[in-house]
Amino acid sequence: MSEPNDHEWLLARERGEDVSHVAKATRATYAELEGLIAALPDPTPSPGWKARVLDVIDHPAPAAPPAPARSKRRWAAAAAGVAVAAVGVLVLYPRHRDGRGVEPIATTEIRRSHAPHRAGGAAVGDTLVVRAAADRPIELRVYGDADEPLARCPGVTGCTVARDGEHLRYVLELTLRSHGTVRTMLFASDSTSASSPAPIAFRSLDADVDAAHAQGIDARQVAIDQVQ
Amino acid sequence: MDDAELTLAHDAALAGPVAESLDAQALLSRGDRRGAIAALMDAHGEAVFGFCVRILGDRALAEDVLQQVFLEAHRDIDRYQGRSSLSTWLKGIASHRCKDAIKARKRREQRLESNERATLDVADPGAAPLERLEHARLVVALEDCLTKLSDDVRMSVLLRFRSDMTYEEMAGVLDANADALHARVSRALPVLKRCLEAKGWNR
Repeated sequence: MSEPNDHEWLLARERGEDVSHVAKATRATYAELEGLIAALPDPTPSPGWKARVLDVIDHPAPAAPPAPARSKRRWAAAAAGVAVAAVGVLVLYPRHRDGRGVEPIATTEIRRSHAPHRAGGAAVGDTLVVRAAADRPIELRVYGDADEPLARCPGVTGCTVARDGEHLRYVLELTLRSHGTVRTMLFASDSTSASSPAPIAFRSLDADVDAAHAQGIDARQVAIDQVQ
Repeated sequence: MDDAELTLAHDAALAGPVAESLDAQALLSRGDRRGAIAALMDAHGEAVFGFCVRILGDRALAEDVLQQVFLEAHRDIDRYQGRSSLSTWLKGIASHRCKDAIKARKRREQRLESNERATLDVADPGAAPLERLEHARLVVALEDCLTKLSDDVRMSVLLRFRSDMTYEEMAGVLDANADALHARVSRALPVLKRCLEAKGWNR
């Protein structure tokens, strides 16, 4: 049994104080416990994880194209007023899953269109930019503060999908028009041969996720952004 | 295992990672960030993964975080100033990303789905000699006892004893002061000991 005051001498020991007055057997018990923790075996990640990291390093998501310049003067004004801040909360990187292909990558960032020196997160008027790459058709969806649908890609103006070798690259740009929480979701089927990942309604976050799960479609949260 | 054996085992386990960290630093000094990250993945990938699995209790999520840690390391390695070892620096990134993943999972669980805790890989003890069988059972018991600790406490215990960090290093990684971490760890150890004893540990 542990003595009730073990934590007191352990605290003293952790502070570097002398604890030689504590029984040797008691100290040895904790030394063995700590040795067991130190020697815990590390599990092994799935094969190829390093190659997947290096692949992302070697093939970063494409940068947002610069806004077309209508005149030198207009371009200069825009350049002064635009700052880009990466605020992706959770980024998904490719991971093989039992031979079912590679999981999609999705990232988000906020492109600031006003107050270039403003610190902090997104604000009304900024642009949410979602980029994704996948080896199968996916769908990106963005939901607002009341879980209402705001945008989907493919499916709205501001969405582009381009083939890049074996991958499809998606870019969705959405101007943030109201305060509150904005959630970016990624819907993907397990099959690389699926023609469409999400033949589901676009009603609300919970309803769409439930519908996706009912159809065996993976629904993942990519990021949460707070719009001030 | 006596103290001398433990020390030898620990030294042997460290020799590879330390050498490979030096390789990473040499590559970094030549401006080869990609090569440095590859060396760091070789040296510390499994340790970072083990840390994340134990903190998150979810292998798939831990693997996502693992990849995120090294991508972030690649992005930020130019800012590494050598004030701590590369291993400690990586564990710092891993700690923050695990915390983010825990927060994200809690939000997601509230709304979307529940997650089952992962079972860690432990060698099948079935055909092993009695001593290995007992050790394997002990490892399983200890892993289970660690899951009983809160996320913050488990992270502190693992950084202290599994990653061999100093309290000053832990304070930097966990955004907590060293005094609080002393107390956190010293309270956790008797809890772990009692948990193991309840599972039959009798040294």
